[in-house]
Amino acid sequence: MMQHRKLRSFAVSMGLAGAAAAAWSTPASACGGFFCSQQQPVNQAAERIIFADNGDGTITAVIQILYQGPSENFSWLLPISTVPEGDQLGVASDIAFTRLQFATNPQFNLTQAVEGECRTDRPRGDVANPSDLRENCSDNPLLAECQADLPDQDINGNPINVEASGVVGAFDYSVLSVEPGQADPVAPALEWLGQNGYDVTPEGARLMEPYLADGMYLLALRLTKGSDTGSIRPIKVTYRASAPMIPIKLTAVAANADMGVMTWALSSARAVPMNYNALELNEARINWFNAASNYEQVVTEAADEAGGKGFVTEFAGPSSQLADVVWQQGEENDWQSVKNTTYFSFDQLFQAIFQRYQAQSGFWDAVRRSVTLAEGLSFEDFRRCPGCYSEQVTFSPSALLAAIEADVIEPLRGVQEMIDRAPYVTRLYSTMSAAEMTVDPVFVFNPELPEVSNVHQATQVTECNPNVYRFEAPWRIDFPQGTSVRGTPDTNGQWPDATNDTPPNFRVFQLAAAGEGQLVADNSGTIGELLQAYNDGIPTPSGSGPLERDTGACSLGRPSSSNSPRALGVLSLLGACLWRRRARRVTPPRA
Amino acid sequence: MSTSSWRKRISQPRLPLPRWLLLWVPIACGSDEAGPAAPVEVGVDIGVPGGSDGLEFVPLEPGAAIPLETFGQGGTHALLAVRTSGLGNRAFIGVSITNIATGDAVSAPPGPSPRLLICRTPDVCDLLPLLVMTGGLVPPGTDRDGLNVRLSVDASNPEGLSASVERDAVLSTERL
Repeated sequence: MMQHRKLRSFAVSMGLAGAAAAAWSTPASACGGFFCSQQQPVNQAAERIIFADNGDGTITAVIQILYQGPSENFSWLLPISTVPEGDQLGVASDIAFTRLQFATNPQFNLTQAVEGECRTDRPRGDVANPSDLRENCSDNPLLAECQADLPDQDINGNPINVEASGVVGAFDYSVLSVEPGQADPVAPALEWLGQNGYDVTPEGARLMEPYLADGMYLLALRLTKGSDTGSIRPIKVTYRASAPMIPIKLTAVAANADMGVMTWALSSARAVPMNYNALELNEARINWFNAASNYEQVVTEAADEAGGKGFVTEFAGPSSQLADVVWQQGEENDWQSVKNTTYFSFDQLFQAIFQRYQAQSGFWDAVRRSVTLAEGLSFEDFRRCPGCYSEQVTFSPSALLAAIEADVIEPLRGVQEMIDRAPYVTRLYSTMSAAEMTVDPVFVFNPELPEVSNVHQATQVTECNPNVYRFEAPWRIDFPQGTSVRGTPDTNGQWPDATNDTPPNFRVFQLAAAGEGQLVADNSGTIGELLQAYNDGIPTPSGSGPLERDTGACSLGRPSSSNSPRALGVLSLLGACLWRRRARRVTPPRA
Repeated sequence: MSTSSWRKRISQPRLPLPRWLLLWVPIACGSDEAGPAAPVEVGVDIGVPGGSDGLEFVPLEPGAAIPLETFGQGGTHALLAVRTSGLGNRAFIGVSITNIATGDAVSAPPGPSPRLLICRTPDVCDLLPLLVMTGGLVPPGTDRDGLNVRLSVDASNPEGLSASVERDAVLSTERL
């Protein structure tokens, strides 16, 4: 179930890699897919890659490059197995990633239910008026009357061979190889890169060594003269490969702590990490009232539990669910209309394309390539106010439209076509720090595994009894994993801190290209027992006034808070005992 | 990297024990049931992934072939499996492959935190598939098929128990 329809229930969309601004604690060197320049590291805040298994022994990878720094310092290096030919090297669109991520973001939805019957008579005396105590939307956005207000959420003469070179998008590119038989393949590569403006540190060279020593080619990118960092766009490259692999070891040179790695795999079946664990998150750890507040942290802790080698499958299903997500038919129709309209002035044409595409990757690169400015007029001045200088511009309408098609439309359309060609899409996510980037993750495809929805649904139950008004009743959330967490009425909307004392993974698997995989860790029992102990410590209130009648309902006194010392104490003690006991046991393998 | 409180609770100090003392270590932290805990030999073995799903441990006989595979972007890798005993379900595992003729070596070092292992019995656990990139073992363009190598595996758990093993084998390019 995808996200583009409005959910009546409380939906939280996660901007998992939206915040690209990151603080860099250490300087890094030349950046590339994983590698970047010495002065200004690539912002690898969240690496986003789309892999498509083309079914012909090749893989197409669309790799987003995030960079902060001067354009003259930008360089990007990527090891590849074959020299790309023709359209095997191109540019894509950042918007494609934005749209694809938006459509597959995890959502955590709560539906409301009432269990039992709450007291309904009018409160007496000094008891506060229920209307005064009634939750408002700021107290609990899950209330039915509040849901209408909710937003729709979400890189000759020496042993270096230049196998290919040219311009793609705003990049100059070269594909390098090192002559076989070199005892040290790195030194000549470094020399070539240095002579050609690529800035590589010793650490970067060390990371590059095994790839070059293995005879791989090196794709090197830098910005063309006159281009600025705004022209940096995702790279789309096709190479011969049997399975998608992220050369994450190279990323270590420019990675920040717990950097997000988000991958979409397009193929005929569900993608699974071959040499990393598959993580199944503990649903009780996620703040279902505001999942964006701690989802990233839970994923990080879950990956840490797997030694920094684990991926969460966030979505796995037919690609038909992503039809029209990156490039819609309406957009195609609109573009055809723009192309087929007769324009009588530069202003008229420019307005038509500016309004639609000025915010998209490649727009200004296309304009820059297609217009000739009067002497003395800089492109930057023109860019600031195109209408001010329309008399000083000469251009070919057909050339401008062709450039827009090549630089703006086709990169989006192309990603959608990749999605449409593949029957199945899998989104995997993890976080890892530089020290954890010791193993390049490989993904294989397993047709035997079930789909994974990005929409998670739980039920919040109001636990009524005839002694309490509804606003006095405790609440409980029942998770799909079969666990529950309870809370007192005064903590409704606040996620119990005590859940942080439960393991971040519900279960951990080692999956493969066939079969159901092997169970590596099963924390379900521990989680269930820890939560049960915590829940048992949540009192059921006796009510706000004298009992109307004796119902025999449990009335343990006035609730204090869900994080009461009693509940926390019980949970901590039991948690310590349970976990120590289980740590000594070895989880038996699943049959 | 963060560590949650439930893990802090169970972490134990690393024991400064000499390696010779660790060859036979009675596992004192026994089962939940009452009664004397049987000593468990701490050990490590090396193998290759096998079985219908590639998730079974197949011991590597001395001189046996290790398959090389390439996945494209990441280079050529040796596919290995490691079996531990008496180390529990999480361990630091480092593997190195040495070209016996030249002494050149490649390695897959352990990470900063222990890996989760697939436990077959309470004492026998596996890490597989374990990929070791072979770039640098021979000069680029040199045939690796039939290359004589020495495998070294070091395994240790967070409690400080450790074991290691070495085995000679040959590389096979049959799957490339």
